[in-house]
Amino acid sequence: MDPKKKTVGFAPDNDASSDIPSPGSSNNSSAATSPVSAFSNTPDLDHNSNSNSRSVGSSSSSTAPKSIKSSGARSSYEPMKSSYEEQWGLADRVSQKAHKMASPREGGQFPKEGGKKEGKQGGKTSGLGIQASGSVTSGGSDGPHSAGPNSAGSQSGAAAAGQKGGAQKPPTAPSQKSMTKAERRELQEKQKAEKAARLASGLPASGKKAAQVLAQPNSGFSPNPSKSLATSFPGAEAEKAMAGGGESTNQTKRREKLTKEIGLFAHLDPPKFANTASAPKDLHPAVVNVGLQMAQFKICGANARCVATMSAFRKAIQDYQTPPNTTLSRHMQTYLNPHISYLVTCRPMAVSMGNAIRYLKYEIGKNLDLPDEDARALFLEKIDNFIRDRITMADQVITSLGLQKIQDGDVILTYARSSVVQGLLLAAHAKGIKFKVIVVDSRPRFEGKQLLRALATAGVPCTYVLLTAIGHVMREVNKVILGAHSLLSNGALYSRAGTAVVAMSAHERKIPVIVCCETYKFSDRVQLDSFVQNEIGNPDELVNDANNNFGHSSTRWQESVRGGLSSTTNGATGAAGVLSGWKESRDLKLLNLLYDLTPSEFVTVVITEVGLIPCTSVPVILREFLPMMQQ
Amino acid sequence: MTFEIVAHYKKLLLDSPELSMPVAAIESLVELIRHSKATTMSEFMLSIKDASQQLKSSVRNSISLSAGCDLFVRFVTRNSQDVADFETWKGTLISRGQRFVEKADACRYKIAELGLPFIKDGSVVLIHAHSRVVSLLLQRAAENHKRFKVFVTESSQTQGGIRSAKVLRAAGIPTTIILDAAVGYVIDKVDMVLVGAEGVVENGGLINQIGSYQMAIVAKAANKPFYAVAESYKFVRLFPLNQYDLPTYNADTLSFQELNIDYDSKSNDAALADSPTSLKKASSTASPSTATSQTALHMKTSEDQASQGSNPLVDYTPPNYITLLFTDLGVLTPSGVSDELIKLYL
Repeated sequence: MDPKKKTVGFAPDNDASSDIPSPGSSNNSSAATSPVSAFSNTPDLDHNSNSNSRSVGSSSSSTAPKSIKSSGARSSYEPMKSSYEEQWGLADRVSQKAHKMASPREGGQFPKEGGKKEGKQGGKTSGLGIQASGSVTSGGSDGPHSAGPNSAGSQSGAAAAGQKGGAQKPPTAPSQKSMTKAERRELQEKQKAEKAARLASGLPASGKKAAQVLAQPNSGFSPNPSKSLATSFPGAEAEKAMAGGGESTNQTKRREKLTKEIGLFAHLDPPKFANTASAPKDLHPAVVNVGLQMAQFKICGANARCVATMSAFRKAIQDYQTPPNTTLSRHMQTYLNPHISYLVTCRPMAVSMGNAIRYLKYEIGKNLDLPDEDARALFLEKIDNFIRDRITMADQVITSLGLQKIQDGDVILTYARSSVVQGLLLAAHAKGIKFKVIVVDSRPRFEGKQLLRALATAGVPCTYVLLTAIGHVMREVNKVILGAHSLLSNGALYSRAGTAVVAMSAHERKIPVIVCCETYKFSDRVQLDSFVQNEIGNPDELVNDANNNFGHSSTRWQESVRGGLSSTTNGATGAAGVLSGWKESRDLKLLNLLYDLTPSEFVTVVITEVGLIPCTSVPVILREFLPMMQQ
Repeated sequence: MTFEIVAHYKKLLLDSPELSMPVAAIESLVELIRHSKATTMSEFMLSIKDASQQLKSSVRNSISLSAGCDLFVRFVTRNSQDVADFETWKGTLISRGQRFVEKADACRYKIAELGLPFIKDGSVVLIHAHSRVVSLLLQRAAENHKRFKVFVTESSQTQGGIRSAKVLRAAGIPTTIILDAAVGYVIDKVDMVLVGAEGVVENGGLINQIGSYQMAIVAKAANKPFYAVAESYKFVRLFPLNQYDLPTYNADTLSFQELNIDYDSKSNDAALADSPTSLKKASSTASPSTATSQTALHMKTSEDQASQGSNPLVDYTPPNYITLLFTDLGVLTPSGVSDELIKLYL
């Protein structure tokens, strides 16, 4: 069956039949919930005591339980729902949002003006200017971010004329596409079964209507809202269906993860997991490979990722066969685009990669009229030159410039691991400069250990501390050398989370902060805080239990520590236990941000291949230097 | 070598005291080209680089001198790309170099014009030591009938303040010489601080006669504007991270000389000490009175050295203490300097 068709067929199937006016009392033991919760349509709802308790909790803290505007609201369900489903099909992210919106008000039935107000705000946010009756966006409580365009749009769409929501259908359901046939069949069957069950219990055929029926009479606390939720929404059904069968635990987990989104960061991409299934078929294997490695953080670091990407593209261009009726340079862009978007699905693009790809596209666009083989040779050469000039040579120049700033007797502090910094420190050691290095590291990635290993192997005197000890070690430091993910136009440094703390505490003690960064990592973006743009890593990395080895090489050490502790106290294991159940705990969310932003005043100097510059000169370099490089 | 560049440079400075070091350096290098007998490009370039190295090492404080040398070397290398005829190219370099030297004087007048509006009627200006361009700016202000008073620090090392005071009094500006240590005392009476520069570094910071940094700190603490006045040929491609990251810094600067003292005071200690072993530890175990006498002795013996080698001549003022820089390129913020430098050297 065509998955797309199915999605579309889905909505009418459930809804069309149900034109029942505001529902009477519920005769269903599974208690009731408000249309709000039906509306909020958490996809995750195959419910169990766990989510039940969650809604209980949220009802107490509920910001805006929604009053019911029955018929109007109901008529608006259909478009809303269909668009919703599509969104759900589209991306996990959307459903996360939807879910998040749902959770605070699942249990609450108290009519409240405040809720209405919020709904209004939400509607405004969406730009449609419609009060979302019976629906509350989380916009009011969580800020406009969290009511991302999708959710806000769908809600106000719901309140508005049905056609509007319907007309706004986003493209359908890659995720359904990615379902296996068996899964799809299961889903269908599940829905059928549910419908039958509902009919049997005297409820409307539509899950939604049923939910409403269930909801209406019960204005108090619902003992088991999640249960009704489960049946209340097609999305939920789909979810439930998918959860059925062998996949059940898997899906449950996934669903639960969806609820773990944090309001302030709802606009960011959720953590991504390596998945080739969604990749288009005709990708070059080298690119697929690189994408997977990046998704698993096997290739990590701005330079490494950029070089890997460019090398993969080089292979792709090398193996590229020009299709009939076009030329290589004209078709190349179209050919590369799916590769690029595939890489983005694997992990949000690094600034370095973005710049490199932009450069490549610029070169392709500039040479449209070259004969095929010449163009291929040219592009390959351009890629090689880019890697050589902007990365390899740049690093060498940075190293030689950086050496001027390292003197005998220095105590240099560095954070995590940067390939350039590592190169610089090793070069300084090779040059015979006598200095000491303090490697500051932090959970969860412990990237500093890699640097520590390299330095210790080379014989550089090192100290290794975690970020928490920064205040203690800063006293003896006289230089801080950091790497960069990117430098922004306002001079801010965008780098591994934790860098800002290091730079700030160095600045506080007037210790010079040296940043090593190639100019190709300069970005024309401006960012004032770490929230606007960031990357969310897998929150499981923060969970420190014995079964996960996210600490990489550190795991053994952790275990030994834990072992030592547990002989006396159970503290360490106990602590791990708290987090290991985080997905089940309704009030616990984990946030694993990968980057942070260091304001420009904390950075003394940036060492680039064009010299030592203050970080406020980034725009000057972008203006004066980049045109030169692109020639 | 037939042409002695260092001698020529020193003669230039002696002949015209108004000449600043970078300009004199460039003039000397132009003179070198005139005398150059190099036949190949690389030999020529080598001789220029060699000469500028000689110049830099000939003086103790080479900051502003090296700014001039670097600028000229940069100018030569930039123009070495398309050389059709070696001799005519040399001719071009010489004439261009000379024109630069002639124009260098005009720089100061331009700066004086730009800085004029900043000196308000009835204001009190604090300046440091002696700087030609600062003096010129103040003179121009006086000529423009601005009524203002000047505090100038004595700057004991070079007595530059006394020189400044002479010049300014001659221009009819009420001037008071204050102790270097009195900057904090007068700062509340002052409306702005004005200093010259030996060199302006890449981040917009300032290298200037010792004492500028503490003036900047005091000015910042008192929320008074701190303006630097510098010709653009003093922009230098350096990026000091702190005071001790300057090319003028060496192992002798601010070194402690206790070891010498210990030898001198040995006889003293020997009289008090019974055994040779205690003699070795004399400095640590000596009675308080001995220690005091030792310190006094230390002060005495190191006094001469302090005034000569071990005290620094210049310090570095980080850009965050500087309000604005008056240059012939315009009135710039510190980050604007790096903008100009990047344009110049990239």
